[in-house]
Amino acid sequence: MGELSFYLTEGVRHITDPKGFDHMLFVITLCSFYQLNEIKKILILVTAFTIGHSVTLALSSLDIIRVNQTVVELLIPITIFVTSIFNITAKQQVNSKFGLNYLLALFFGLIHGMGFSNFFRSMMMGIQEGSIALPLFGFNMGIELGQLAIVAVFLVMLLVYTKVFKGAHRDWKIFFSGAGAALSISLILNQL
Amino acid sequence: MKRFLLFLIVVFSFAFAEAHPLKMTTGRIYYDNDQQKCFLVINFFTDDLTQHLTEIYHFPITENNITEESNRELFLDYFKKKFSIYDGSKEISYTPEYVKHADDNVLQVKFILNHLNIKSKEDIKVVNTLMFDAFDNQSNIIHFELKPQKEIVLFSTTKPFHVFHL
Repeated sequence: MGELSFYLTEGVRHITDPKGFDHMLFVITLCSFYQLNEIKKILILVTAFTIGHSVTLALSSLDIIRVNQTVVELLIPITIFVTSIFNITAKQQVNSKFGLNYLLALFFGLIHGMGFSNFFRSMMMGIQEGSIALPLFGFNMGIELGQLAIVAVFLVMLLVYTKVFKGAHRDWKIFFSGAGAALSISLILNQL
Repeated sequence: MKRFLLFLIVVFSFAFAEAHPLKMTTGRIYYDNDQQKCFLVINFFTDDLTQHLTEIYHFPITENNITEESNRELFLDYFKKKFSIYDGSKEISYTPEYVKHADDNVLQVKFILNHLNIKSKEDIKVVNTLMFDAFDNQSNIIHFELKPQKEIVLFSTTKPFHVFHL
């Protein structure tokens, strides 16, 4: 397998592996706030998260910034917990809140990017001769594709829930935010 | 109130789920033109490795003492049971060059691959089951760079070996 395609596959695998569900959980919790007619907002939020994690993934992988792995692994579930609490306390259809959510997604993306970079840097340590730009690009692209797949599946589930089962969005939001909060607490306790 | 109860039920239902961080080693098999030797380099996550060695050898092996000679020998003993390389049907021996902390939570080990003939027309088979006995989701990456061959392979519990055709 070529280098680019190998790391692209690894990026997809990294974010979609159900056994290491923290990043996937954040994306799902982030999206669960919005209803089916707010797809544009979901896409903007996911883009903000993507920009955030791409920046720190690149900076940290290229050794421009150094991060403490233990702190980052604690911060990641905290971002999920905060997002869950935001989802159940914020009111729907409030534009100013969307602005705050956008900033949170961007900021939390920066933290998640550091998490991705720990994994990526350890893969590259003494292994890659020359520039890591190509594998880094492939890995990041893989994460984006994996993320898009997660959002697509989530939207299909939301569509079925809303149109077929006529479910209330508030219950949907409570279910995913509750799950996000619980799993993030479990992750936080494991890190302590 | 009903919504709050629903929230609590969901929280309680998911509270006992555990995330399993991805488990992986990465490595490289390459030929150094200057030294005219073949080398093998493998990176481990230090915490996973020390925890596993402690369980196997019933002796506390930690990040701080793994590079000490006696513990280093235990680690190398484990390594040789879990990693093999064959030139055709002949098993290639390897000699440790170093075991060192390469980065935060990354332990790196380097070996000289003795008598690996890079002009060999034989296939090279690598069996890599490092840490498979520790984690069911373990996988291992190897960058194989013996000119003109350059390949990256993922070893997993379902595919623990690979044959490189030179």
